[in-house]
Amino acid sequence: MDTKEIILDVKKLNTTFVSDKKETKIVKDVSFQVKRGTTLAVVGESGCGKSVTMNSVMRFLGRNARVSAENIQYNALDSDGVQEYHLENLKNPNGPEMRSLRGPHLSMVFQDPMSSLNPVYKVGDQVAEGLIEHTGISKKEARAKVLELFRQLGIPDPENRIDCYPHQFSGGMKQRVVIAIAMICNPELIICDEPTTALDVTIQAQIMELLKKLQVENGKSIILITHNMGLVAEMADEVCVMYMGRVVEFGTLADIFDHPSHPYTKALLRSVPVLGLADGQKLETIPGITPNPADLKPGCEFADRCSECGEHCRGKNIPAFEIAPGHRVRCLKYNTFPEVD
Amino acid sequence: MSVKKSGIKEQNKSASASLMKKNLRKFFNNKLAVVGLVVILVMVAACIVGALMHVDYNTPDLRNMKSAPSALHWFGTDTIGRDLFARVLYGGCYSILIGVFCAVASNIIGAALGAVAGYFGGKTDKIIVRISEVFQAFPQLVLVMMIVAIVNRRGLSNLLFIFVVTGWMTTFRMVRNEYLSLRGETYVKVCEAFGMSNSRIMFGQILPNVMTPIIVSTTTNVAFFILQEAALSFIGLGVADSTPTWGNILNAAKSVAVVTNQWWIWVFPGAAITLFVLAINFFGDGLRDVLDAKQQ
Amino acid sequence: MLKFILKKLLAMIPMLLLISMIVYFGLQATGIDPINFLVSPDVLSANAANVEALRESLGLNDPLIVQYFRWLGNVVTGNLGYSFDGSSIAATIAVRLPYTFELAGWSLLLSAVIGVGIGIISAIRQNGIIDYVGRVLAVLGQAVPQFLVGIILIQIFAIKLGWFPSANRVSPGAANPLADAFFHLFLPVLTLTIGMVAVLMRYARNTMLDVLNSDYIKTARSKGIPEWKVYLKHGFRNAMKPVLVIILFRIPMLVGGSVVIESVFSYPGIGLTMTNAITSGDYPVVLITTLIIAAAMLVCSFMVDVLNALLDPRVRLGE
Repeated sequence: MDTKEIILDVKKLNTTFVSDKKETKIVKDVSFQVKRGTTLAVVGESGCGKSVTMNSVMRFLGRNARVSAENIQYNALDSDGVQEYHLENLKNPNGPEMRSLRGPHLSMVFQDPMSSLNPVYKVGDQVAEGLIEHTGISKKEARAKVLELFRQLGIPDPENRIDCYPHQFSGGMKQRVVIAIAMICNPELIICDEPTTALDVTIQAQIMELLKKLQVENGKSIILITHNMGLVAEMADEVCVMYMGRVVEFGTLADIFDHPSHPYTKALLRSVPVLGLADGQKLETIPGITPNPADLKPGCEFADRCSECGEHCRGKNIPAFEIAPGHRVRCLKYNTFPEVD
Repeated sequence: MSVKKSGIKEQNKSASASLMKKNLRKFFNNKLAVVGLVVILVMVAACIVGALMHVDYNTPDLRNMKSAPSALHWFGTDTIGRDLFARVLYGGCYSILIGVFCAVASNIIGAALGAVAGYFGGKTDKIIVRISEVFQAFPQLVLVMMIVAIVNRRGLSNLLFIFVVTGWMTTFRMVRNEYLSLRGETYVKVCEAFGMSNSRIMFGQILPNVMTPIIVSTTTNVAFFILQEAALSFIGLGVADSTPTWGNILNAAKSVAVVTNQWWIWVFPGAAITLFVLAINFFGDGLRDVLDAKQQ
Repeated sequence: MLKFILKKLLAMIPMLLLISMIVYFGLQATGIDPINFLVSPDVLSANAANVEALRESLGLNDPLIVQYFRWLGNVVTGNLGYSFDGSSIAATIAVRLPYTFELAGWSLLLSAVIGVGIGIISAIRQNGIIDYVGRVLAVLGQAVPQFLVGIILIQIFAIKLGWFPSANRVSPGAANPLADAFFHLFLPVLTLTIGMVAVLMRYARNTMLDVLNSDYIKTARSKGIPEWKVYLKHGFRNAMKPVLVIILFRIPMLVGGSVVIESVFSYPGIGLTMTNAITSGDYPVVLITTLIIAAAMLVCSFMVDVLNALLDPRVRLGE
């Protein structure tokens, strides 16, 4: 692996939730890589495990989750070279090593800005908190930096707004504050968990433009979790398609949109509503419903809803096949191609 | 056509039957709740049997006053020689009766007022809320004591009345809140559009959605009223001594001499209250777990 | 903020009036002759011959509403009337109310610290030993009647072990008044605290759990700040308000409980006064003490409102 090129490498990530006596595996053998300075979109239906995957990487999950992986490697680029951090081995998810990475190196933008901000503290203080923690600068200096970041993010009247409480902001502004919290320590990798799902379409566009600008101008790497294929088309360089806790297809934007290979990917793209449907032509949907993770049978998870399913698809684990450089599909239709891990 | 209809009806029936079975199974998995239920049933049965058998709780056995538990008197005798076991059995009848009656009655009143206030809103709501606020400005026990003083006649029916009149407010508040939020639901508007009468909407449509917290709170209130009656009787302001209740029997324990020398007089009724209240709390918790899941 | 406080203060006044009306008309409903509690027995006996004139001078032949307002004026200026045994009610209350404040106050403080402390630790270290023990104690504490706890404590610590007195508030001729107070208060306060802790522990635990499941806790963690800051600055700070509100809401139950506990320990507070007054039919004392207690409760609920505003900017600045 070229650690200068790859900023995050995740190999065979498994996350299991333990409750009372039941164990449910939510994320199964998920592997993906994020190239430095690019945007990776992670797409899939609600409940397919996208958020859990990212929360596992950031080690945010509580005690009832068991996270194990062959590799969760973050490569930090500094003036001397590359520093490798192996996150899968950390015994204490909230211990000092992980915490030193959260903020200055890795950060996350959460889905619901309404509940992501602490209601009892001023927004300026909340943004400055991480900065002061990691750099130890004074409150005054931190305040200046927060003001500057607010201006960059397009928050109007920042001198006054910095002393306001979250409930005094609109949804779009709140999300900008959340982005400010994620950006204040200048991290290299930003994970955005459906950052605009809870916002109006117009605000959505503004926020996505903002994120794109950050990437292009500052060379940041972004992981964008979404179920909106339109957003993917606009923002992503590479796409990772997930279904029921597994990566079913991975490739560049062109690979996924021009040569969708997994039946699920094809169905996803077909179900995006487009203008110009003929009279009487129905909107395409994926037949069936998302199964309960606890009820899954061995074999391909998509088998019950797949139009191209065959006998051999149920029964054992489906490996991934590389059908083009950098384009992987987990489907037995391509078993003539070389297998990859 | 008719075959299809009966198919759906049967489907619904079997669906609700299997839901019931699922809930029952869930309930019986909760061991504490089951133990609670068993204890409740056993104690209630014992008390009823005791009452039916007309156990003698009033005649003093003058030769065995203040005697410790023995073969003759299983729980011993009290200060004037009455058999304590009989008194605890009979007292259970009254205590449990008071608890259940007051819990049910006060919850019916509280729920009805809450429904009216939450549904109609506006002036009706303001007036009823104001009344409940005035009642709640007094600590409940203090309010009870004040009314007991004014009424000045001890008696079971008076006590029941006073408890119910001072105990409806918590249920009222809870039901009112539910109605205020459910009022705006779409199905309510649909019913109104159909010209359904207010009382039918209130009690036929919205009420079933609020039943779970009402049922659970009724159960826990039984424990509350039993405890309140015990406290009131202990300080001497409950029902007259001739009617035994668990609290009444404990009244004798006001004297330090009795506490030290005749431990059985306060240990047995005390244990009875504690056991019954524990059982109700466990049962209520189990009930809530089952019913809440159903709501989801 | 000041405007908020003033608004809440003003809202208290109609409630106080309503309560005073209930008390006054309750007094009337007992059927006793007002002259018995409006003047001291000395004055009554001095005017035995001329009771009618005394009546007239007190305005007892005026319409009820007028009498009510006159009585209200008296109450506000501190003239609370006389009990049947001749003593001034105001004087009695002045001595006994502070004792009840002591009892309730210490119980409140101790149960708040212990109950909330255990509750929060239970939430942070779920299913740990403290959580388990706490939950067992909470269940027991809510099932055993409070007065029974008092009796058991007396039996063990006062009678068998003799460490504490079993009754009263003051031992005559005690050397050190503070130590004396401590020994007399210990068991009653412990009894009340046990009952309150059982309830508070569960609320504190559930509130803290809710807060710890909030999204802003994840945001706090994503900044890389140490865990203790996450729990204290973000977790506890948000749990503080609902927990404090719950504590203050429990004060009426605490007062009700202390009425009973004062009986168990023959503790000369306002609760015992009321109990004895009911038993002896001393209506003026009963009703005036009820009035004082209710007024105190209103002040408490006013403090809840103020605390609500202080701790939550959404309330203070309006949503």
